[in-house]
Amino acid sequence: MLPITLDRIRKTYGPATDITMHTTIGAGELFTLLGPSGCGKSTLLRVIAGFVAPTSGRILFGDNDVTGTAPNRRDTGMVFQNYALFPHLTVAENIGYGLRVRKVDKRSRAERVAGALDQVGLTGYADRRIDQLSGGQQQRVALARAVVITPAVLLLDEPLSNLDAKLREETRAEIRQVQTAAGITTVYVTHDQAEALAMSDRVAVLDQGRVHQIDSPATVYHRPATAFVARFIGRSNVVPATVVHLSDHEVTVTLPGGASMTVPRPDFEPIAIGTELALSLRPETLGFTTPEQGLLQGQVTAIEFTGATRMYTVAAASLTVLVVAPDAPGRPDVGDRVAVGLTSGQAWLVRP
Amino acid sequence: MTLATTEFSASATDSAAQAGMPETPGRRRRRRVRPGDRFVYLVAAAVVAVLLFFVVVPMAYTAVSSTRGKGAAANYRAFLDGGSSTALLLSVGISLASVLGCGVIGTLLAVAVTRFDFPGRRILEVAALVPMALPPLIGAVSFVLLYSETGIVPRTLAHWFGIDPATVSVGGVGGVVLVHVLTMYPFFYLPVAAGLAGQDSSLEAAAYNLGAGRIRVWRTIILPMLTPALVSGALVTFMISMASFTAPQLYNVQTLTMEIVGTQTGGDQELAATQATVLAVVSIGFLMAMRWYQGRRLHRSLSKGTQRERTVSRGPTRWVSAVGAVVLTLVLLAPILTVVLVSFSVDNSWTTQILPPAYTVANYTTLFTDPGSLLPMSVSVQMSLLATVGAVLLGVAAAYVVARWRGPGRAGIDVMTMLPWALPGTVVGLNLVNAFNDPQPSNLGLSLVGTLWILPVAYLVRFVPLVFRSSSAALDTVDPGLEEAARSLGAGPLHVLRTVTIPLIAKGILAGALLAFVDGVGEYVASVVIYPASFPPLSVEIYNRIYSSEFGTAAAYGTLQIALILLILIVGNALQRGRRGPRHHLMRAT
Repeated sequence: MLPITLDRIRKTYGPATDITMHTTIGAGELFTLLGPSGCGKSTLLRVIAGFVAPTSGRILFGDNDVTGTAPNRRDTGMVFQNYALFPHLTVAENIGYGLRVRKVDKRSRAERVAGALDQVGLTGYADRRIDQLSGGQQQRVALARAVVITPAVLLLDEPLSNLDAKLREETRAEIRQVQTAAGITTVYVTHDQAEALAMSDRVAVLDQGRVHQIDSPATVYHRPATAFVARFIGRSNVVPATVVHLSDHEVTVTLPGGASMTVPRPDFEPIAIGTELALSLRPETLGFTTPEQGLLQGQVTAIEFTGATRMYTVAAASLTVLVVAPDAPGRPDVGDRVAVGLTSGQAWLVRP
Repeated sequence: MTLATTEFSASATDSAAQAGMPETPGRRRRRRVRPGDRFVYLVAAAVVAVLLFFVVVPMAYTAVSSTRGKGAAANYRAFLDGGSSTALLLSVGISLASVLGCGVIGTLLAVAVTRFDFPGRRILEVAALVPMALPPLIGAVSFVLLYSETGIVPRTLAHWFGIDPATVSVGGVGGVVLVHVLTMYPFFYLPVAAGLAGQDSSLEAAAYNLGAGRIRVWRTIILPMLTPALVSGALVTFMISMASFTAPQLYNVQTLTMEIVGTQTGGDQELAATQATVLAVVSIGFLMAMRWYQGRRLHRSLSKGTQRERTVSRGPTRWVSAVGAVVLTLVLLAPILTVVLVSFSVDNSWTTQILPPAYTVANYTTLFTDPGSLLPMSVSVQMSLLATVGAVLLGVAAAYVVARWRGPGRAGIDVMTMLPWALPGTVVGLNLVNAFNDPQPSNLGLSLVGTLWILPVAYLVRFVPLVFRSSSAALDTVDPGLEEAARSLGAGPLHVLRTVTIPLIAKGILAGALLAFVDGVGEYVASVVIYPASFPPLSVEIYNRIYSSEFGTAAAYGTLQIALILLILIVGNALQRGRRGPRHHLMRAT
């Protein structure tokens, strides 16, 4: 169990791509790199694995600088997006590959392979060929192969993206369980925010090579640092807000339409009177109120029935606001004029 | 939360500081060597060293030699003034005629068997591949036995119809073109047939649906999609025709390859080097043209090829096409049948008859019992085996480097490895003679001329492209992620190569190695320039036997060669079965 330090890591590909990160991943932690495709998350994972050399910066496993270390000497286990299972070897030979390289003797190799197969629920599949397995089974073999060598670091590159939705949810719980049991420091790459929130100890949200926020899933969700994070994690209404008053702990802002509200002061700078920021309003924190209490006034343009709730699209001046409200009697209809206000939870100021 | 926030702000400041740093576009940063690339560099260095030593430096020797003697200007003027320029023009003319003939025959044959159904189609489909089983020298000889003035066909026609053999026989330039067309049309036939079979029939359907007629569909849809196959077929045919030596020698036509051997034998090494340099430049030009053409974006069907209906011929056309198929099948099979038949004839017994009059199996028994007859076979098999081992090592290493090398220089290694494929065998032979004639620092004191070692070196140089191509094709289908997975599990680069990469491309390597071996056994063009007098390789021995009219023995050697080639084609096909994607055909030069 080792912490991983990304010390001012920077990777550039020409002038267009510039990926930077500086953080420490705690020992035994499941750390997720989350972002849309092309944000640089896979490149960062490959930097940690040793397949890509950073343009500048250092990688440390514990106190050990591995920046110049070949991938095979880094003691990482990696699960690839397409699994990269060796097609010419059986399931057991795939899982035993890393042990063989480490010159583990035949008997304990067989024991550990059997143990790994058992752990991922594939006992009895040892002698199958890879092409005789389903996608979900292949995924589990890939995980077993990476974990059986008890690596210092486990790296997962979108391991669930090739599975169907139901299998994905089952498997993510399994991965988390295997990781916690082994206590391996793990870096997990995904573009699926639900997956990231469900599995991670901490999440790094990236966009276009830039780290927007590194925090626990709850913090990332409730207190997004930037408008991008607010929009990328869950659904959010990001509304322009101008600072009109501020104290050590609170900020008062005005919204388009003139309403004002006071929210906790976020911990980024600079914030001053007149600073243009953005307010993140989760749809489920909003509801319909009286015009006096409302933050925004507008007209319902669409309603989507989702089961327990309904999602309303409200056009308020130049903004389009989403409101999720219980499917209760007296609800507004398409075309009705409504006032939208904060009815539960909190609004959060973000950098635009 | 507190910890996370501090880290995040640290990251923010850091990126802000870096964002403020001006990025000079175009200025290259010092690239860090990716850990693990070192192995590829190491292999690349070894590959380049071997290629330089055996391919590039010998070529340079010939080029340098062309400037010696009376000097470059005098040598090249002698080239232009003497018979050489006529020979060059003749070579070009023959090659153009060969391209035209192969193009017409190959394309028509491909269209016939992929788009039409008629009695005999399946047999014709098999017969169309027969030229690939013809050994280079004895194959050309069979055409002389069949179509020359004293050949089987003119004599038959004379006997049955009283036609003067001189009017129906083929000889001289016509003979060379005939041999070229009937042995090289697969360069068109194979890619066009594959292209037609793989073409998405819905494209045609769409064109018909939009109101296009049959001719317009061919002109605007089908032919444009076949253009890549036709162009590369034409380039290969031209290049191989320029390099052709066997057919010109048998028909005594003074092409440039013949001139080179004649000049060299006559002792004017500088002029021979000049001629070889000119020929090499032409060939390399065509190799480059081919690379350029194949590197362009080509039309590809977006969907997979679908099974399409063949047009079934009916009524009288049915019988006309059936007869045509039978005749064509006979024409295509005739060379092999002739070789096999003649192999049972008694040496020196065949004079003016249509077919050999006396038959025996003695030719075969002497091949294996007479030490003098056994020697050429054992020389060729052993030297070819040796060369194949070398070609596998070099070819696989080169394929690995070209597939896994990042950064510039990759194309250079690719070209260097493919260079011997473009070079005529005559030039390869001459290059080696020039480079390894006497011990020098540049050849590390290796004087190979006159020793048996020159043969495996020549075969290695000539046939390394075969292994390279088939290994490269196999490597293209291997996901580099598999190698990365093995690396992340702790395996070093050599271990990954041994346990993952090589096992996955083993079939491709083996297919290439088998081809290299069989081509080495039959190699004639370079051998005739370099072979040590006391150890004639098989093909040289065949030529000597023909020269002394021992057709039976020569054909017996040839039949064994055909059997070997067929065996290897069958094994190769079995290896290819189940593999997707286009096959890579590289045929031998004659």
